Parts: sequence; C-alpha cells; structure tokens
Amino acid sequence: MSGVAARSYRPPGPPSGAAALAAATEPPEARGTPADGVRLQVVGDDGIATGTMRDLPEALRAGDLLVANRSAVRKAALDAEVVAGPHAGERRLLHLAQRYGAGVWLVELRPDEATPGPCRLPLGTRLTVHGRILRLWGTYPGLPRLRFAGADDDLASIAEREGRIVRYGHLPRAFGPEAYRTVFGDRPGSAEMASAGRPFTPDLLRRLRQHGVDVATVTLDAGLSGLDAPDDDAELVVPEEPFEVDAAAAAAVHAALARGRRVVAIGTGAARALESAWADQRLRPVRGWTRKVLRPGTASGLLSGIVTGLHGPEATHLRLLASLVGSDRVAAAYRAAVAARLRSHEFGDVQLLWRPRGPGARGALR
Amino acid sequence: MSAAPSGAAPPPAPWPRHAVVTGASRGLGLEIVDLLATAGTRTLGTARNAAALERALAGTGGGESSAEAVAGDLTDAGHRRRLRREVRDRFGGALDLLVLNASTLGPSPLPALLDLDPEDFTAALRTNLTEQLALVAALAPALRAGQGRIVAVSSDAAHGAYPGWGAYGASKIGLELIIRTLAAEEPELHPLIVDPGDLRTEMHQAAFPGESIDDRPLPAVTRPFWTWAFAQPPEAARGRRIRAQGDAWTLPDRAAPDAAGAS
Repeated sequence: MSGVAARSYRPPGPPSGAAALAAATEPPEARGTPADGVRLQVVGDDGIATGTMRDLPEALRAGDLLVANRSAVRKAALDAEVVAGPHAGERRLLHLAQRYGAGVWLVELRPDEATPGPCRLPLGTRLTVHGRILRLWGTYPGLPRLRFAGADDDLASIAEREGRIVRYGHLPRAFGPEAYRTVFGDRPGSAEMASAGRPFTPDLLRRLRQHGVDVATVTLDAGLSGLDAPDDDAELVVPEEPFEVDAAAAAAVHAALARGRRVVAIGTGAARALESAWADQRLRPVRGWTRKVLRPGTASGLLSGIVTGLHGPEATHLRLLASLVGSDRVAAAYRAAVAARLRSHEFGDVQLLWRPRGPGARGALR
Repeated sequence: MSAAPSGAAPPPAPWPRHAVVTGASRGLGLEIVDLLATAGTRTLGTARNAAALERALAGTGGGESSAEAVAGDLTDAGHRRRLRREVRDRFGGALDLLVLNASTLGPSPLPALLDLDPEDFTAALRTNLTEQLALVAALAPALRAGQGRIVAVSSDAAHGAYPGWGAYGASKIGLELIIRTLAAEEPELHPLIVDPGDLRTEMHQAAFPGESIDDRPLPAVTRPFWTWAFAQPPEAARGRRIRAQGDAWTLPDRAAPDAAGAS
C-alpha cells in the first residue's frame, strides 16, 4: 500500500472484521493462480458483485480512464548492526522508507520482519550497513517509529545490490523481486509495492483497451505502511512522498472529465498523486513531493472510484479510501470482503469501490 | 566560541559540509542549526545576543558536534566582514549553504500602516531587505568556492496583505524579489525562497501579544522539509518559492537536472 503510511484505524461502522480478513501468505502464482486470477469485488450503488480480476472490463464502461502508479518497488530491507554504545553488536532489520537525497534517508529499525519495534536506539547511534556507516539523526515529527538517518554513502546502490524487498510478518517466507513486479512499474522508488496494480496483466490491459477503457500513469514513490493509531483525524501524520503527474496524464484526465467519463485510480498511491496535482478545478502537470493527507472531507471528487487491495486495519489506507468514496461505502466494502473471505495484503484480492452517486457527493464525503 | 567539531561526517554531496545560519539563537533558526549540526554539517550560527547564542548552540548537534557561535549584528558591516573571515579561516573559504533566517518583525503589537513610525519601517526594510543583500554580497565569493546555496526565509505575509503586517510583509516581498533576481543574475548561488508557515516562535508570539499561539506547530515540524531541501541538488529548486508546510514541495519539469534520481 502506499501514500497511506502511518497509522492504524478501526474500520468505520460495526465490523470489527479486521481480524476476520485472512492475509494472502504467498503470491497467487505460488498457488497456481495467475496474477489476474485473484478475486475482484465491485462495491457500488448497484450492490456488490464478486468475481475475479478478469471480470474487470465488464465492471467498466467504454471511455472510463484508469490511472495507475508506475513506481516500482525497490529493495529497501537491509541488515544493520549497532557499532558502539550500550547496544553495540546488536543486529537490527533496517527498512529504508524514503530517500530524501544521497545518503539521507527516512528509516525504520525493527527487531525482525514480524516485530515493528520499538527500536530503542538513541539518536546519534551508528550502525554498519554492508560496510557503510549510518547514523540516526532525529525522529520524524509525530512518528517516532521513523528516524532520519545519514550515511557516508548514498546507500541506494548498496540496497539494490545487497537488499531485500520489505516483508512483514504475514508472509512466512521471502519471495523474489519478480513477485513484486507490476505491469505498470517502470520507475523504481517505492519501499512497498503499488499492489493494486499487481493483478493487471498484459492480457487484461489488452482486453480493457478493446473494451474502450484507457490507462494513464502517474508516479508516487511509497514509503512504509505502519500501525500506530491516532483517534483524531487531525492528528494523522503521513510522511511526504515523491510524486509526478506528467502532461500526458493530466491531459488524459482532463479529456475524460470533459466528456463526463469516470476516472478510476488503481491504488491509493495513484490517488494521492492525482489529488496532490489537483488545484483550481484542474489537474496540473507537477513533480515534487506531496504532503497532502487524504482524510474524509478532503478529496476533490475527481475520482469516481478506486481499485484497491485490502490491508487489514491500517488506518490511513481506510481513511484515504473514505475520503474518496465515503466512510459508509468503505464500511460496507469491508463487511463484504469479510463475508466473501477475501484475502488481504499485497498478494491478496482486490476491490473496486465506486463513489456513491448523487447530490453533494463530490468533495463533500465524510 | 565553541570548539572545532568532532567526527560526525555529513552525508555525501549535495548535503552541505559548511553552512552559515542567521538568527540562530532561537526559533526556526536554532532548529535549522540543530538539524545541520546533527547531520554533521559544520555550521556557524550568528545572532545579536552573544550569551543567548552561545547557550543555544551549545545544545545543538546531539552533543556530538555543536554549531559554532559568531555573535554580532548583521546591520553592522564589521560583523559581516568578520563572518567572511570566519568562513575563510574555519571552512577554508568554501561555503555550501547560507540560510538567511534572521529578520525583525518591527514593533509589537503590530501597528497599522498609517500608525507606523517611519523609522520602524526603515529599520524593517534595512534588516530584512537591504542588509540581507549585503550579507549575500559579503559571502558570495565563499559560496562560489563551495557548492553555493542560499535559502531565504520569507513569510506568507509577503503576499497576504494582513493588517498590521504591512512593514514586515513589504520587506519580505522585497526580499523575495531580490532572491529571484539573484537566481537570474547569479545562478551558481542557487537561491531559494522558503515560506516556513506559521510556527510557535517568539517572533510569532510578538505578532500576537497576549494571545495563545499554541495551535501553531513547533519549528520541529519543518525538519522533514529542511532535510529534503538540503539533500536536493542545489540547482533542483533554484529560484523557486516553496511552502515548507504546504501540500506539496514542487520542482521544475524533468527537463531540469535532477541528479541521482530516487532509486
């Protein structure tokens, strides 16, 4: 998941169903299912339909525009060892959440894949990372789990050579980089895969185009997702992420909107990029880092829907979805996912959530 | 004067090795100095109050390599010459970053324009505009010898036409034009304008005497921005105006150079 890094969130409405949603523990290919064979649940005004991803063209109309995230996952997990002080010799799992510049990183240090922390390393701590020195500078304001750190080397090439793809406790074993490729991902930069794009295959794209559905791409380099939870939306902290909406994507979105077509984001990262480029009722071609936090009431309404994976109770994910399609729809979708026993996380099933039609829906969702 | 710093090496370029920050004894300036010192950048901090400056800078850098204090008044040409000497002696004459943070708000409470004492107006223009350029001129050779990057701290008061903020705002919009013109005339100085947004600082309190400003964030909220800004290649944001607390930090089109990429 992406753009939705920081906090966890109890799903709106009755279903404390988070626990009831089982995680996919391996890529679909490992259980003999092609990438586009995962299940697709469409949740809209006309009810809920559950099939497979290959049914997606039937859920869309000619002229609809899909917008995907072309950011590809980079290797962001490395082994690190504390150099000196009371923790000298201790090993940590280093996650490179975001590259702010050469040798300047936002990082998370954890005991292992399954244990988020706490990190318990004081600022100033030095660690060795494949022969390089990494020093912890400071905490991220509002998110002490994340630290700024500086290295005596860029670390990007070392991570690419020696690193692994970030994996959490729901995956009992590691999978190679090929399991984390999406058909859209041609710009490495994300610490976690833009997983909503994973079930798209070249064959599915061909069928979508035959059906009259266009696909545009934007870029959002996702940091790490997380589990800490504020009760108040206003306290939601989401670290900034690099993004780009180029002129071609902006033109495609404008053309679709001008013709009254629907624009559908593939994943929360694409949604964050689009919303970050939206100003004065138009989409500007823009490149930079976005700080825009999508919480209920903040979305522009330019998106009619979103294709998204299921990510358990992580908060900013659901809050971002609620900003796009409303809390009621998100709650209904969550109940439907639990009822249909959809699988969560990066190798799991997906949903297509439509924004409710009707007066006041645009930009006014709570 | 603080001792020469110890071992914490900064990250590779474009992260600055040597920096000068004005208005370093408190608020946003102190926050920036602390970030730089913690990151291993050798940093000279300047401010008028020598005792307050020494005290503040002693606590920077996480106790490892604190910033170095050079107290003085920026409206004094002698102090500017001294800063130039210190940069020559301590940094070998090569300066990678100059942060123009010091400024004066003017009288508190903020007077309406027609109640403004012309001398207060002149003082605001002098401190926030004329003398900023004079400091740039004094340090320009060192900036050319180093990586060269100027960050001018501005304010939304430069654009907002807020009652009471006229003198301060006029000085800041003037500063912004100076910086943008510098970017055209002296591109290798890589000037950048930053609007840090409202912050809970003594200066902001002085603008709202007797009112609570507790709803404003502490200057630390801007740390991710400075971390990003100093880690960018200097040319990436040259001549731009960026709101540290805005919804996006935008950069020019990809045609402009963007070293290294984000992979």
